[in-house]
Amino acid sequence: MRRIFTNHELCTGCRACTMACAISHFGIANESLGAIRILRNPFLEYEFQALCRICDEPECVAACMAVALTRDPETGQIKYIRERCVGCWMCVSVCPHQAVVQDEKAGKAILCDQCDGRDKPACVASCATKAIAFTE
Amino acid sequence: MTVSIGTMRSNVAIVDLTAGKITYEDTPEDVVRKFIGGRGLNSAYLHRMLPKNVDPLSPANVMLIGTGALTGTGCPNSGRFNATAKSPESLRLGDANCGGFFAPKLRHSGIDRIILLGKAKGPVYLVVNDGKVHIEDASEYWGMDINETQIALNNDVDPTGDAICIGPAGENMVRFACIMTGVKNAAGRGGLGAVMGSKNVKAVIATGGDGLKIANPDSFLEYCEFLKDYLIDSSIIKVLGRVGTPLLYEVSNHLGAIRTRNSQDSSFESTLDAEEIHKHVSKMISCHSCVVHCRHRNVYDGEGPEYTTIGLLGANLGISDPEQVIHLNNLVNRLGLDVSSTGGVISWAMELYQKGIIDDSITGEPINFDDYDLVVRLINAISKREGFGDILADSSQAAEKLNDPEKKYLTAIKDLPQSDPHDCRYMKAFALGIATASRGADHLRSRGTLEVFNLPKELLLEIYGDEVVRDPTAYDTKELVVVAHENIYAVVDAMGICKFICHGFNSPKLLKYEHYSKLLETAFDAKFSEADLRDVARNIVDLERSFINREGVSRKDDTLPRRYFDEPLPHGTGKGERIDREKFREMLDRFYKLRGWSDDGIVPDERITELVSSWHAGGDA
Repeated sequence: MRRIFTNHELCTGCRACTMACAISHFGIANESLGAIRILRNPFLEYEFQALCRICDEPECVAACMAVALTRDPETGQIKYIRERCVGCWMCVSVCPHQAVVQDEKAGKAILCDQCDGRDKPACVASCATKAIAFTE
Repeated sequence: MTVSIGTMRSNVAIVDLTAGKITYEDTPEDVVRKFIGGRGLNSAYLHRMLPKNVDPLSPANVMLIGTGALTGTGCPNSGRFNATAKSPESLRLGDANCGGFFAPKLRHSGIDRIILLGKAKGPVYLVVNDGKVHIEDASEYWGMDINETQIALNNDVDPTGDAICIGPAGENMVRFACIMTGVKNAAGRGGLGAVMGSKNVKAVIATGGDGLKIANPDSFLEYCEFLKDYLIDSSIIKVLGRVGTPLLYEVSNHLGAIRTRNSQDSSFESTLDAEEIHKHVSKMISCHSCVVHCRHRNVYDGEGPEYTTIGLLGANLGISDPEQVIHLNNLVNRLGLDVSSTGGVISWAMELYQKGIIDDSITGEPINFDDYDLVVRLINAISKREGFGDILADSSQAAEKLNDPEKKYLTAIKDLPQSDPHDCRYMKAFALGIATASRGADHLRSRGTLEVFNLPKELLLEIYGDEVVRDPTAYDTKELVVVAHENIYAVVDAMGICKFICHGFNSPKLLKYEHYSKLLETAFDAKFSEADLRDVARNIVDLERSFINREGVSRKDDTLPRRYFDEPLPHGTGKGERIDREKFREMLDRFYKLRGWSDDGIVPDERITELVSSWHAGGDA
């Protein structure tokens, strides 16, 4: 199965990926709506991508009492049903990769769906430095 | 095609600091169609709101923080805003363009443009959130440097917020204080940080908000990907991403045109070559949505240096040690000083001292070139306005106190010290460009360097619309070069996009009017044809000219530093080159004619009437 991989050493922190993700999923240019986030701090000198790593034993799925998050037993893919999300943020607090985004206004979690249906995920298509790849 | 702004949002928060009152309005569509955004709309508002002959450091000055039409959309290099006011340094147009992450965040937070009026009673900062601006007490932040201020604001307001701020230099109204964001990004030129300081505004932090609706998400993203792939395939983008602007140091040095020791010389050490600088760099990083990543993270807790810094705080001060130059770069950034004017003003004083025009009775100590420790002391003294630093803090306005009332030894135009380290005696188009630029001696308004690349005649014809002389030392046809570059740079500044991906700045292959047109269409269903955008360019240039005409600028001010006319370049390819006064005068004649201005460089009344609607007179559009 192909999945999104990130390389923080190649990341220049520009957030084009976050923007592309938000635009492709919501039609809105707003970096707080991207499922891939660039955690950056110019004063502490870091920038890296926070993104769902598709854990083998995903803690977010275990923590989700609304059953909005499930794991496909065959592909390992984490499925997110937005309508079921009640905005309790348990998934946010247990994710070891800071990969679940809080859309506080909507009261819904945002989680990477690997751009299901697209040949190339929007974040991968937007990256100028190949810091994000979609591969086996 | 009828010009249409589609779904493009263009709103304004007008902050009356004296009254503590904030009002909101949309910019009239008619005005957006003419000036589109960023620098263009900032200039339109300044033209409308600022009476003439206002003291720039008084509450009467009007200050604008304005995002571009494409800022925050996520299209390549769309992270920029313009800060605009009357300049306390030049006493004319103050306008500076800045990258980083603040501008997209401001737009996402729901505000496209902020206008600051009056003066707050005490130190304040502004919080922009969900389309509203809040004025907060900044007493605790006053005195902090650039990094400290932003770290504190992120801790106190929102760790995901992005801010612009001033440092001690802005608080003390140093006439070349910057507005800064992040570690290094600066709205650098013209002392706009001093204007913020004069209004008691320490910072603006943007947070939250609903973002910008994109009209055609799929086609917009598809086009952005196409542009990204096209741009990163360019050799100039590749080299800028690898070593940044320092690559230009070697180019200028080779031409014998690197400003050295206050332009007394034009050739300097190779110790400041890009590869030498790069030994002190840990990573190349980006502004928002940038495909270039030309910004260095250096190993001394800072970002930079740019070519400008290497030139102005290196060669121009006679300092050849790259580590020392980078430390100076980091120091001016922490204090919030414009690197170009800092270097230009200190080198001016050093030459005056060298020539015996000023002495220790003014300076307090010997001030000689190639003295790193002295420069550190002077930079700190300038930012605090202490001792001799208090005089230097007035930049060109200190000419009388420095016994150089005619500014014979200051490399400045319209009282703005020259930003580019490039000595303009060799390239005549470059010289005409900085002589006529609306904000003073500045390469970012109209730098035309395509002629040095020896491009095919057919391509030059396509770019300039007429045949141009390829010889960089020729005067003929250079007005065509300046006008073409000045026009497209006005548009890219109005878009909120970086010049490094703009056609003409470093390459003829980068983004042209047609690309901006399609970005506007896919992002907002806005309809601006290539011809419409060319009209926007002329509107911006003419309105800025009209503004400075009103402040007294005419032909007499479109000139060059005395040295460029009187002394030939001593070294390199350009050895022997200087600017011929008569040929310069003729070049200026042709430039004014092409622009449609009078022989004295004045925008005709009928053109102003065309640009300035009743809205400009205070009424409705």
